[in-house]
Amino acid sequence: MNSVEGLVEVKRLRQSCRAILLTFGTGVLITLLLIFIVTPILALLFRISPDRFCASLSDPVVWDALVLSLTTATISTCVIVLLGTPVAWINARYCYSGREFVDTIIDLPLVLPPAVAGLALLMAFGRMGIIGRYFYESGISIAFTTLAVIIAQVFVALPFYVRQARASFEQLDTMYEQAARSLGSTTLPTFFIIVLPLVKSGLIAGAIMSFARALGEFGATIMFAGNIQGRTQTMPLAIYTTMQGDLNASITLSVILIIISFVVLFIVKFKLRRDVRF
Amino acid sequence: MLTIDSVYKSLGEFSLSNVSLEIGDREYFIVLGPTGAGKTILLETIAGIYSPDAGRILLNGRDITDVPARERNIGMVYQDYMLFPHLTVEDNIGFGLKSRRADPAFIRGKMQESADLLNIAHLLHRYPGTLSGGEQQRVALARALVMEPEALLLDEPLSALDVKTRENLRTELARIHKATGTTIVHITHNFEEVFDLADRVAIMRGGDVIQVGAPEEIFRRPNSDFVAGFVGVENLFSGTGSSDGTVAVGNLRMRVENGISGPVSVAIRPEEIFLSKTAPPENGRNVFPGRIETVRPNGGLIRVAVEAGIPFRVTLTRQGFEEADIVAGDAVYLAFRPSAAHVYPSGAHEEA
Repeated sequence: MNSVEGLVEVKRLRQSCRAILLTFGTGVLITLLLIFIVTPILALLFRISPDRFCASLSDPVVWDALVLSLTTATISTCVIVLLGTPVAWINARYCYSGREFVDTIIDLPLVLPPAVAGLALLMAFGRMGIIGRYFYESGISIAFTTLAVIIAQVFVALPFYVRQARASFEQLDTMYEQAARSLGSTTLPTFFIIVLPLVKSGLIAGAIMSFARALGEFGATIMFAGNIQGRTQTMPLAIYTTMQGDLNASITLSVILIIISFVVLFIVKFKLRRDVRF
Repeated sequence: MLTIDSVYKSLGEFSLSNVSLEIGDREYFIVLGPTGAGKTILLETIAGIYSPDAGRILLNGRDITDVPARERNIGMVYQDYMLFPHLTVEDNIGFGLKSRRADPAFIRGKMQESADLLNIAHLLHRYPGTLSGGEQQRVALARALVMEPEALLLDEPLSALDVKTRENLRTELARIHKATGTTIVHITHNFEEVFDLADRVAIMRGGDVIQVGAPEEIFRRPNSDFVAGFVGVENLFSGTGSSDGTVAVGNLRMRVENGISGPVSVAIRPEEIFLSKTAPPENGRNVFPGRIETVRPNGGLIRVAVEAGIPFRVTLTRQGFEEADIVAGDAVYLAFRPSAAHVYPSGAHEEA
């Protein structure tokens, strides 16, 4: 072997060494990241036996929290879809002055710390709040009721839906609507017969994201709605409360939330992939 | 009758400036032009997607300039068809009539009629995503035609299809036009679509209509260098016209069809020139001696370059080529009738 061939050989060896190191390094990084996320979840799952899990389910604290959470999050999601769809549609399709301002305001709860949101809601809808005081005078309290739980959830989860819905509407080619109009269809039928079915998957994904956010809501709820079992104590609040006494109840609720989170993630991924077909 | 009266529309880089067209009842009208000529804006302005900045649009005497698209009764077939992907072919075709709240029995009848017309009866229960390009195009046509539009707009209907499908559909379009008698406005950048289909053609460039006429008229008598180039006139010379009906081009003086004085362009189609090794009798024709430069077979035709003081391009059929019995380097005579030499003023319809 002459020296030139030797040099080429060494160079090639170095290159393949570098490739191996790079692959190895990336692998280690990904593994560490996965361990970081998965370990706490597994720790929680291993901490409770199936028997204790089932036993805890009949604990009234657990059961009340589960029922309250699912009911309020479902109502919140419905409210969000009803309010958010027209807004997302208008912001996606029509140009008006202040559109970006409206968009930014809707996004605000995304970055606002939930505790701040809770306090702000209290200042607005509390007994002394700038709106709440008029309700209180006519005998209606909002703060520290189930309604407050729903208000808090809508407040924090709305942007998740509106953002996804607007993106879905924007992705839809406007020519479909033009085609519908040239065939004599008016605005609302065009929306319900053509547009809505074509963005359905995106809207469902957005609604599910909002539902998940509403289900996990903690800070704003405890500030604005309080922590009353059966009325305002949702699952995250119950987890926090029972952690100090009945750890099994706390873990049972956590496991339920983990399962719901997984289901949500899978549905969202599946739904968003389906929209691409069109 | 579709009348476009002095329409202006500006949309960023695309625009229409002072476009006026009269499209007759039952006419098949093709708007031809390169990309960016403003063809699509013109179509979309007629359809009512945009309202013009100035000017009027009249459909059978009714001013529709400010009528919303859905009330215009103008059908549109988009380049990408824009079939509703979540509806079956049947529901796509029925969509317009259902929007109009037509009687279900009537809808069924119309559906059957249009499905038969376009040979898509077997596709009615399929979804658009499962159809070929040609089939989608037929469905899009059926969806527009079932509304019995007063005018039908076709946006590059053949350009997205493969050669064979395109041929078939071109024949279909001619047949459908004959069967329904619908006024059709068809835009394209492909000159080949013109001859089989169009009653008349408008040539557009840069938002302007620069020539309107029957295909043969445009083909033989272009009014500008742009149109001449677009329709494949390869012999395009600048010269000086005299009032005696001749034009001096370089050192040649040729008799032409329409004498204009002053600086002119002369357009001669390559297939209208005759080549011969012996001097042909003049008989009123232009006859010039020259020399063959190159001979290039091009499919069924032979393209010959001849130098006669000015460079000529001549297209011969294979039979004509064999009769002329020529090879590169031969001395030849070229002959063409004055009517083959079309003259227009230099710089006509040039962009400033």
